[in-house]
Amino acid sequence: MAASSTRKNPIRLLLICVAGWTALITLAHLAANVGFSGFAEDARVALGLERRSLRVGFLPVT
Amino acid sequence: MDWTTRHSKRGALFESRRYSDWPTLAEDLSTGNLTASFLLAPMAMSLKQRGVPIRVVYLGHRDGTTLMVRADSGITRFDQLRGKRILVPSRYSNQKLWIARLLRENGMTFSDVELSDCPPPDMPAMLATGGCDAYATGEPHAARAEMAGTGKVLLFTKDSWPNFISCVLVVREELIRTRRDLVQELVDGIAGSGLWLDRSQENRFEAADVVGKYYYNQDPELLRFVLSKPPDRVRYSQLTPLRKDFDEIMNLAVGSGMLERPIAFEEYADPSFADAFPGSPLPMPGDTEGTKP
Repeated sequence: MAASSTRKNPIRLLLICVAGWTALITLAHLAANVGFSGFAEDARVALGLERRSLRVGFLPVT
Repeated sequence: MDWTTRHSKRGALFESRRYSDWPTLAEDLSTGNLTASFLLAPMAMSLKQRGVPIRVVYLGHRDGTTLMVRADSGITRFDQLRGKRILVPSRYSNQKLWIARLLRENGMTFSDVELSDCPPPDMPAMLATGGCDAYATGEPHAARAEMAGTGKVLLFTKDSWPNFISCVLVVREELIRTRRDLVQELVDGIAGSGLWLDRSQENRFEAADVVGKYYYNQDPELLRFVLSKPPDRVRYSQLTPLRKDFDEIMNLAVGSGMLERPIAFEEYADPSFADAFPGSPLPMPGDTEGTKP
């Protein structure tokens, strides 16, 4: 039923394809450039749930 | 780190994580458990060659390494260390390369001395008990023996290899890719603190008191000694990674077998953060002219 309706409505099919492609590109960008944990951290920082943090290792010499 | 946090424009939290040995630190950096760290310069090159995605973005300090011998040894020249046991912090340390350089300058090779690794905090006791004849390490572990009267300075790097680099600041490449602003704030904070430290002896004493008490768990008098006797024993300015310095380290590391093959500066260093540093000391407590260059 749904398949036949999209076949009958090319605009709807186009919108579904564009939305799917956008979601795919967004996920690929998150995976390649941000990382899902980084994205989750961004979201928590944006929502004010935590501060952005960076831990720096050192040995107590000089 | 606390002061960098306090001056973070984005409200970021910078924390320090203390390690007691280099291999554990390198392992955490390799696995991604740690994304930023101070690390021995040749160790950073070696890790990069082994596929660990890190970049040197800044230096920890310049000079600040000393070659110590027993106070009662009668040794006054490097060539008198022939046949003696010398300790270095790690086989990937710049201190080992300094010894290689000194051996070459004195017509000697590694086969003329007995070189061993030792954690820097243990070195003064090793020297005092006869476990070694000399050691080369970053401060404050040379000054400890000097203050205790068990050791004496044979050489400072500042006189033997000026602008010596020991520790460098490395960050993982994904942090540069995804959190460039955070890395810049870290570099700005370290650079700004360094400029403030090198501005006056009073600033150095103030830092020794705070750092000794709250961070290093060291006697503030020891750190005051390190930062003043002589004042240029260790320097915290001019910390941009420079190709000529690193090429010299890399060539020595290849020559001494520390690195398997040469590695180009561009592969492991990213001086863009140091270049973008605005050049102002961080304002410190009670410091009315802290923002002036």
